[in-house]
Amino acid sequence: MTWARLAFKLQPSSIGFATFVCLGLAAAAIWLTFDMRSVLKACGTPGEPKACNVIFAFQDTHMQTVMMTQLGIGIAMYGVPIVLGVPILAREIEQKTAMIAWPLAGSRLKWLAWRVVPVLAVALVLIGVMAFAAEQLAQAYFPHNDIGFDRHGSRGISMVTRSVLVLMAAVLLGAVIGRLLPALLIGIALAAGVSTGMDAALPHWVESAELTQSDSMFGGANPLNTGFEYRAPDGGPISDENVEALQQAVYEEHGDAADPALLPQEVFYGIAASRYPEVLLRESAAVGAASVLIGAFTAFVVRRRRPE
Amino acid sequence: MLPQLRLAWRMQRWEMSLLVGAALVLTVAALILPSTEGGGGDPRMIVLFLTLVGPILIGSVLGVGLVAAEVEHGTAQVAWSLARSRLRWLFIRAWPLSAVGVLVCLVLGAAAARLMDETSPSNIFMAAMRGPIVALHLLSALAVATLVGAVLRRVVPALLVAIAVNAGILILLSSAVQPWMEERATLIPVEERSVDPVIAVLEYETVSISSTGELTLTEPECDTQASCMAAMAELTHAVRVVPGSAYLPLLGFAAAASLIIVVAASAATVGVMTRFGPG
Repeated sequence: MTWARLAFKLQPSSIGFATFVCLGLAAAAIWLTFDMRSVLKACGTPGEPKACNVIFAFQDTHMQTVMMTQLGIGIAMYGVPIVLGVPILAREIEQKTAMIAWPLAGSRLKWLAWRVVPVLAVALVLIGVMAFAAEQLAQAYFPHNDIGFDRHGSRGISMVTRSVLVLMAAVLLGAVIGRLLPALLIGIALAAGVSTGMDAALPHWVESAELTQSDSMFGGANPLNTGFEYRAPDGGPISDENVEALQQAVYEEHGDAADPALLPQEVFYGIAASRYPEVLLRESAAVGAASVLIGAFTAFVVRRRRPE
Repeated sequence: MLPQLRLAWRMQRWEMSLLVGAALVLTVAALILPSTEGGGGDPRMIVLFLTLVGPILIGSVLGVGLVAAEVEHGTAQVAWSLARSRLRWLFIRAWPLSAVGVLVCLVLGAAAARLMDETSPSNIFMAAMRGPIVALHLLSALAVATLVGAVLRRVVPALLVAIAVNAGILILLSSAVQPWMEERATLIPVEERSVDPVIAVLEYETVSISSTGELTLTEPECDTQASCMAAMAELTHAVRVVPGSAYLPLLGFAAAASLIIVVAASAATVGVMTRFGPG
């Protein structure tokens, strides 16, 4: 526990903030999870709640609170690594303590490991708890379905890997810039970039395909949608304007009992929820590799940089 | 004046560069986006969102750097002893940042207003993302962050608290004007949406238009798919908006609120600096 105590003594406010935020949000998520699951205990009894029979079981009762909690977790998963990672090197360089610490340490790499590893461990524990709670919350909100890609990136393993990536990038940022406040500010922009970049890369980890009815969102699944088009009854492509005209013509001719085969078909493209583990594995491997690379580059910067 | 500007640049060149750089990038983006195909789509909302939160973030960073960084680095002891008065010291350190911040935010606010008027985005916070209100956000964030820094005297905790407090103030002020904006909202057909400037879009509705041009809220009456499509085709899509004429009173409210915040926070900062010293 010496390393944990040392890490806390060096960054009491950052670690205190991270602990407060992560555990607070995790507690809120777990409380909401238990609350929603307790509602479902009455399923199968006379007068069972509406939540037992609808896909969006808690839309009317818990949506607002769940969304606010998930929003908080989504911000904290980037905010906490920035607050923990940026000061590690930036403060040492800015306050000139690196001038003493680095020559005394013998090996700068060893010094870096002693400073970064404890903070990384603390971050992993705190964000891990929050990620677990976020995963449970997402599953409790859609109790009757596979949650698939819903809230991907802000729950479970994907949240932990992304947070570690941002943490490593934040440490590097502190080492390169060497000033706390600007590094924090750039760190915020960097986190926004990481989030946008990861979301943009998501459809490319595996190839998209046409989704079957049961794999699409209308089948109650949570796939990753990448495209949508209408197909004419004969199977050929059809424009949006023609779809409306065709629908109107069919309904006018046959009324509401019109044969669905006469109407334009909705075709969804994407990645089925059943392929989520495959996507998660590939993304985690890539993000993990990127984190290691950034760590190596940080070590390079620390070895080369002048301490002033 | 010039030496004070040069001093501010030397003390906080990173922060000032980020402020000017970020504002410049956002301004250019806001000016370019209306001429891009389809009005820009999502990038437009990102620019507007950053116009809303950017001044809060940058104001907090700049403000915390004024007192908390000086105290944490131990330079306040010398600087405050040499200064004629702490109020004067604070003013000399704060005004160049405020002046540069206000200048770039005024330009950014004007560009964001043009972006909104040309591309008609929908957001209830639109009023807070356009015109001089953007500069007022930066000023109050700067003053509040300076006070928080003076109280907490550590950069990281002060920055976190300052961001939280400033975000709270923004939400509080926006909520305070919401009922007033609801009262002034008018219903206009969607096609007329881009004729006059609009400072907030509150709701989308379906209406029927009488022969005198009067709009009446109307729900489509139908019981089958076919009749619903026919009923919707006869109705007009309308939008409940707060007209541009409401911006001036809103600006007046924001200016008064910012003035109170800046004066109160600055007085409290000097009080804290005098009472507790640089140690």
